[in-house]
Parts: sequence; C-alpha cells; structure tokens
Amino acid sequence: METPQQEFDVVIVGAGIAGAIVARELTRAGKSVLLLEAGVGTARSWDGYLGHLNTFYEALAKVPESPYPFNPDAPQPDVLDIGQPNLGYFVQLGPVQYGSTYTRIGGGTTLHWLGTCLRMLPEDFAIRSRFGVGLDWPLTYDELRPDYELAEMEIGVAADVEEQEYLGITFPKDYVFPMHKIPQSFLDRTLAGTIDGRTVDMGGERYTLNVRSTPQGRNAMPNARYRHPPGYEPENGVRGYRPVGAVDPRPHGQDLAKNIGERCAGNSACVPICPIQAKYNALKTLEKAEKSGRLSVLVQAVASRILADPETGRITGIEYKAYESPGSPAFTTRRATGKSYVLAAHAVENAKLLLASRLANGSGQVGRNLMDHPVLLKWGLHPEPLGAFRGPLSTSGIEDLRGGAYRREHAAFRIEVGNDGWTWPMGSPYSDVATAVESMNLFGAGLRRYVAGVLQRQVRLGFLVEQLPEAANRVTIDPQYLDAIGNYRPVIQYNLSDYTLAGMGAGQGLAGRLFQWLGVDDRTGVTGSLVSQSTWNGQTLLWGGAGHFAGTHVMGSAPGASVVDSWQRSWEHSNLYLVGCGSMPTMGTSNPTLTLAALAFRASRGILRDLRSDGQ
Amino acid sequence: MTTKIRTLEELREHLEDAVQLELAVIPPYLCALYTLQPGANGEVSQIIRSVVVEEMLHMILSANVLNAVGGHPKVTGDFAPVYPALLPDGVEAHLLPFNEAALETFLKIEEPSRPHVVLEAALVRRAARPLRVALRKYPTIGEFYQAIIDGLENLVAELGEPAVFTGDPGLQIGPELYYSSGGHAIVVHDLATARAALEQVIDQGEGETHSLYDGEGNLAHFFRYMEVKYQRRYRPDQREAIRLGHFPEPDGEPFPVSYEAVYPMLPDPRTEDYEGELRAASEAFNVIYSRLLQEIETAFSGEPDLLLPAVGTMFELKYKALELMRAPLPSHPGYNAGPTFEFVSPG
Repeated sequence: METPQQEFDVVIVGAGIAGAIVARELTRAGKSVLLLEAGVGTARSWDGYLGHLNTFYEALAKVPESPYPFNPDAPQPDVLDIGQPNLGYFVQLGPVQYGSTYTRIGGGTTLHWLGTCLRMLPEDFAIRSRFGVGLDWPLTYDELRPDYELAEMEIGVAADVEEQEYLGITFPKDYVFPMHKIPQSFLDRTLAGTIDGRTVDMGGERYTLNVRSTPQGRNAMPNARYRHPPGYEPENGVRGYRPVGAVDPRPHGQDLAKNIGERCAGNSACVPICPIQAKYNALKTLEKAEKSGRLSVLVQAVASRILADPETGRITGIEYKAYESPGSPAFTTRRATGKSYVLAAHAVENAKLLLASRLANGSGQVGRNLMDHPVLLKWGLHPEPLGAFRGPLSTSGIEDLRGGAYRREHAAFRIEVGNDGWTWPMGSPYSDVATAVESMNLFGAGLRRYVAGVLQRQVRLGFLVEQLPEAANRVTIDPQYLDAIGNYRPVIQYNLSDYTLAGMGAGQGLAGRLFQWLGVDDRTGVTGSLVSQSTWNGQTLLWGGAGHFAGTHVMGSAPGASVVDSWQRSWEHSNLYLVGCGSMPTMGTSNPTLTLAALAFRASRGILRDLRSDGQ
Repeated sequence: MTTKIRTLEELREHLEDAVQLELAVIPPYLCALYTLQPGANGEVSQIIRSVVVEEMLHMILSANVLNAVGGHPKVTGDFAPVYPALLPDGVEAHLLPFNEAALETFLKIEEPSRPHVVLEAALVRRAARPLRVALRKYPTIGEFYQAIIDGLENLVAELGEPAVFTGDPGLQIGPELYYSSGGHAIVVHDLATARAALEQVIDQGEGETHSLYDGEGNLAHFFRYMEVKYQRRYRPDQREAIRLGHFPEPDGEPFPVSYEAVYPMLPDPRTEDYEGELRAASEAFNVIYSRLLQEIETAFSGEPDLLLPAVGTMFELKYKALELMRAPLPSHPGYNAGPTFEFVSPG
C-alpha cells in the first residue's frame, strides 16, 4: 500500500454538499484539506458539465441518474432498478422497496436535486416530547437558526420572509433571504385562487390552507436588503447578494461560463440536470474552496476502510481505492492521513463505511433508522389549461398541515405542487404522445391538438409524508454482496409503518377534497415501475421515494442510543465527524438538504474548535 | 467634428446616442450567435454570448446616466437602428451569419484604436444608414465615452452637481432588476456613480488602457473576438503591453471553430426579401422585437419593473429568430432566412 507524502489537517470523504461546505469552511479558516471523491470529477468543468447534459439528451429514460452514467467502481442506485430483483446497486430485502436514489459523482446528488430549501419546524426538533413519537434532537430550532442563515447564504435561497413565517418558524427582525422568491407559476396561482383560505380539520384542529411559494436554491432577483452574516461579507464590499452562475474553473478571464445561469430561465429540467446551473449545486461551493489553494480534491478515490487506534479510539487514516478509469477493475489501495476526519459520503455510504470498518457503533445504531419521505402521488386533469411543463419543476407547496397535535396519531405531510404535469408517475409528455399515436391513431393537427390539450391541463400533487426513525429500517453489509472493486453494496431492509401509512391515507383523503374543489378529474391509477404501491384501510396508495435518505448515524444527547453528538462528532472517536442527513434523528416534513447544510456549518465549527484545543 | 460637450442639452444628446449605440451592436452579435448550429462552436458561442450580455449592461448603464441628468432614453421609433448601420468612424454593423466577415466587423466595432474597414463589396447588399453618433466623428467608441465623462466633469464644475443630476431617482434600473448578464447595474445619482458607470462601459469594451483585461480581470471584448479569429484562448498570464495599432495574438489553448456548422443566413435581410410564410414569420419577429424595445423604453421611463416581462420577450425573440434561420430561402438559393430587426410601430 502506498501512503501519500503529505499530511492534511482534515481528510473529508465525499464531494457533495456536506463535504463541500465543510471543505469551504475549513479552508477559509486556513486549514489544509484533502477531499476524497468516489466518483468521477467530470461535472466540475463547464465542458464536462455540458457532456453530462448531452448524455441526458441522448438517454431514452429521463430518470434522475440519466446524465450521470453508471460507474461499476463507484456504483449508484438507479430509479430504473427499483423493484427489479438482482439488478442494480442496492440489495433490497424488503418487505417494501426503498424508492430513492443518489448519485456518486463530484458534486453529489445536488446535481439532480430539485432545490427545495424548507427549514424544519421548531416542533420537528422535539416530536418525542411533544407527540410521543420518534426521537428528539439534541438541538432546538433556535440553536440551529444561525446555521440555517449560513446555509441559505451558501445555497443562495430565493424566498420572501413574509411567506415563510408559519407554524412557529421565526426569523430575526431584519432578515431577508438572499434573493426574492421565484415567481409562482400560473398553475400555482390558479390553484391558489381556489384553495387559499379554505379550511380543513385534522386531529380536532382547523387549518387554513395556502398555496405558498417554496424557498428554493435557484437564482432569482437578488434582494438588495440582504446582508451577509458577520464574517461572511464579500471582499469587494458589494452590498446585497450576487447570484452565483455556472462553475467554470478555468483561470480568471477565461471563465466565460460564470455569467451563465445567474438567473433561472425556466428550462424545466431541474431534475435531472439544470442546463445552465441556475440551480445550486455543490460544485459552486467546492470551487470557492479550491480557490483558497488549501484544498486538494482526489476523484476516483473510493474510501473503503477507516483505521482507528484501538487504545485511544482516534482515527489514524482512511484507506481508499484509487481506480484508473470508470469501469476499469484496476485499482491501487492508498491511505490518507490527517488530524481530523469527516465522512460526508451520503447517509448510506457513511453507514456502510462505518460497518465495514467496525467503528463508531457502540450504540448499535449505525445503519438503523433509515428514513425517506414516501411521496403519495395524486394526479388529474384540470378543466382549463394550466400551463404545466413551464418553469422550475415545483415552485409552490401547501405547508399548513406540516405541524399539529394530530402528529400523536399519524404522520405529518407537506404537499408539493408540481409544474411538471404527470412526468413523475406517467412519464409525460413522452407517454402522452405514444398513447395518442399508438392507441388513438392520431396524427398531424389532430395529434397536436390532443397533446397540447392534455399536457396543458395536467396537475400533479406530491404528499411528502413523514417517516419515523425505526430500528428495523436499516442498511447493512454482507460479504456476499460486493461491487466491482470489492467494496460492500448496501443491503437494505425497509418498511412503511402504520404511522406513516395513516399519514398517507390522510393525504389521500385531502387530495380528494382538493381535486373536488378544483374540478380536477382524478386520473391517479396504477402505472408501472416508476411508482410503488401500498394499501391502507382498503385504499391503494401510489407513491415514490423522495431521495431523502436520513437517519443512519443519528445524533443524540447521549452515547448509548445515538452515533454522534449535536456537533456530528462520533461519541467514540474524538477526531471523527459524520456529517449529512444520516445524522438527522427525524426530518419532519422538510426536504432535508437545507438542514443538512446548516448542520455542516455547525460541524465545521466543531472541527475547528477540536483542532484548536488539540494545539493546532 | 468632435466637439467638447458644453451644455446639458449636448450631454443628454450624447447619452441618447450612447444608448442607441449599445443597442445597435446587439442584433449583429445575436445574428452570429443564433446562426451557430447546435453541437459545434461551443467556445465561440460562449464568447459571443459573454460580449452580448455586457453590451446589454452597457445600454442599461448609459440609460441610467441619461436618466440621472434629466434626459429620456429612447430605443423605439427613429431611435431604433436600421441595418446595416454606420457606427463611429466608418465602422459598419451588418446582420450576418457567423463567418469571417462578420468576425472582422466585430473586431472593428470593439477595436481600441481603429483604422477604417470596408466589407468586401460582394457582401454588402445595402448601404449602411449612419447612427447619429456616427456623425460626431469620434475616432473610437472609447473616446466618445471619454468625451461624455469630460463633459460631465466640466458641467459639474461649472454648474454644481445638483444642477446636473436633476433626474428622478425612481427611473434608475438597479441591481435587483438587472442582475444576471454581464455584471450588475450601477444606480447613478452623482458624478462619482456616473463616472463609475461610464468607465465600466469603456473598461469592458476596450480593456484598461494598454491592457488586454478590464479592471475585474476579464478579457476586453476586442480580445475575446481575437481569440475566435485565431482559434485559441489567450494564456492567462499573457499580459504583454499593447502598442499603438499592434495587438498580441492569443497564444493559449486552441479551440475548434467551424464556419460550416452555421445557418447560412442571408446577409442584411429585410422583410421585403421574403414571401409567403417567411414574410409572415419575419413580420412576427419584428412585432416581438418592437414590443421588446417598447418594454425596455417604458422601463427606462418610470416603470422599471417592465424589465421582467422583457426577459420573457427576449426568449420569444430568440425562438422566432431560430425559426427564420432554419428556413431555406427559395428566392436566394443557398441561403436561409434570418431576422431583420426592423422596428414597427404598434397598431
């Protein structure tokens, strides 16, 4: 085994948003950082990014992974593998198929995320105390709030504060988001015209509904009143916020692409790839960190084992397998060393790596409590054209039911309003054209009329339903399941509890009322492999995964029942941090990336504090 | 003859000309940009686009200065350029597909100190109509802007700042409304901000004096087009001095340029060149173009929020231009149609 000459202050595993933020924060503080990325680094140049865009254009199935080719040396789950036994990266033991995926490439899953940046509700941090379910966080909303502000700065969140103060979410008096809200779509505004102000009862409480603009990491009109948090003021003294365009790491003066994507142009392709990088991705943060000159990024370097001193528990190195090119079976095992170590490889990969290394698992909780937001899908036809397939894939949601006393009985949910017609459940618009041609024998002007008539009226709601941390939902490893270079494939056991199913059932009931108010003809029906099916009280529930992996190394207030403390430091290894959604004991109903980013800022301070107290 | 600006009226007229000049160079650049067929000329596309968005910013900056001194920016009616258009010192702006002749005109438009250029006779289908600024006989666009700055300074010295900057602050286009595309708008309310706005225009176009780069380290427009001409980037460390009339050739990474993967647009087309469906498409393009100019002018005249729908109009304009550029022109074998950028009054 070869050992590199240089020792770094910190070694980070994973060049996604968590790893990029930690790398940025540490290099800002003058620390030297080595970042190991399992996947390729091809998206990091503008030319390479355009290559991924072309791969997407040429793909037959436009699934989230389609721009990012499968790499046997750093394999990733694929939507098309779900429900296909013996296929793909995950070994799914069931009884329910875990419905989500992620991407192993420099930039991580932010390359194909939607960009939703909801904060968690204050009550979400204490659902055990308040509702007798799930786990409490060792943190409160108020403690995390300054880090939410840093996360909103780094991602560049577009939202208007006035719309985001609900269910206990508070902001400092003068706070504004970096950018004004993304304009709500015509579809959103049409739905709002019918829904806003209507009330529904749940758990004995009455809720007033609103179709509310969604905070999102997507470039919009900068807010001139925005002030950077203390210590983060721009060097050039510019006031307000400047949208960050595409990543173009060529030398200054040659980086022409940086002016691309400073404004969302409504390409409607946020997932799987924003063609202009108007949507935030982790490469933007990574590039800033690299400009410090203190960050070394090693791509095609798959961490395979964490090494610890058996006496002290201190981590002494990370073994990684460096492969020559994607698909090549040849690799060299090397070791990276630093003073502190950060696993930011993804909830599943972090757990896998800890299990493979037999570390940090005194609580027995590593790999357990795997969560997602099963997204109950409801779709139908509106009587009038709504302009679906325009703008970002979702610009609004109904958030009013995210909290309340009913959470003693069943799971909470938020409702995402899609601008993407029936793309998710039905593969629109391609499937509509195929149906019109093959089953209805339409052609020419008649075909055009039919397709335009149907597509413009499509409505899709997604109910993101809360899942609780449960020990039986878990990631494990098994020596009989290895990838091409001998690393473990994740073995997944997963189920939906009655608590979650009851929440989905409540969502289904509400969907019926919403559609009735809107005059929408409900077309929800079994479609095929893109949608999973469950039953609750005799009802069929159609749902998909949200991509919100969480809970595999939960944080807590004591070592016995949790893997990390509130700084995301391993209870057992004082120089090991496990960052990412894996640390979240619950997710509530918020898409977790913003919270994960806030936690990464917090962890960075913890690492710097450790390095200082260790005399660095 | 070039003259010193001595009155507020002359200052406003010069700034009207500046707004018109910045608008006038955009359609020729857009013709080159949109005639690039997908799948080739990626670097060329990025370079032209990067220049176009900065010209858009320059128009905003000039309009902000004009509004600040109590003028009225106009881009419709007689202020809309007619192509081919004659710019200062004999430089002609033509509507051409991306080709070597077009590139030469771009170099001349952006050249820090310029000799005359005459297009090959075969390429000239119509005589160029001079912009008003062309009659002022400034040797370069940079010197034209320098005359405005000098005029501003003299007038402020003579009359005092409050007597010069009498414009309604509500007419300014700020960094909220103009944020993407080439930089950020500067709100102008005094001599310092006016100078900052105008110097940014000179700086991005021609570079800092005797340098390839502007103050922010970006290549000046002229040198970006030199890269296209020589099919290589400048080395980032290539910063040798510019001597009078001599410009260093790029010596960095080569990149592919294809003059074949281009829609063969008819040079300097007019709607009268087209018949039938193409004529209708050209008329539709001009209606969109005219609406865009009207939206911009109204935005300059007290409704700055109109810049938001104007962004959507710009997308409409692009799609309509591409529709024309992809259509072969039966009356001119070997050529496709193209956008004519003719202003038509509404109604």
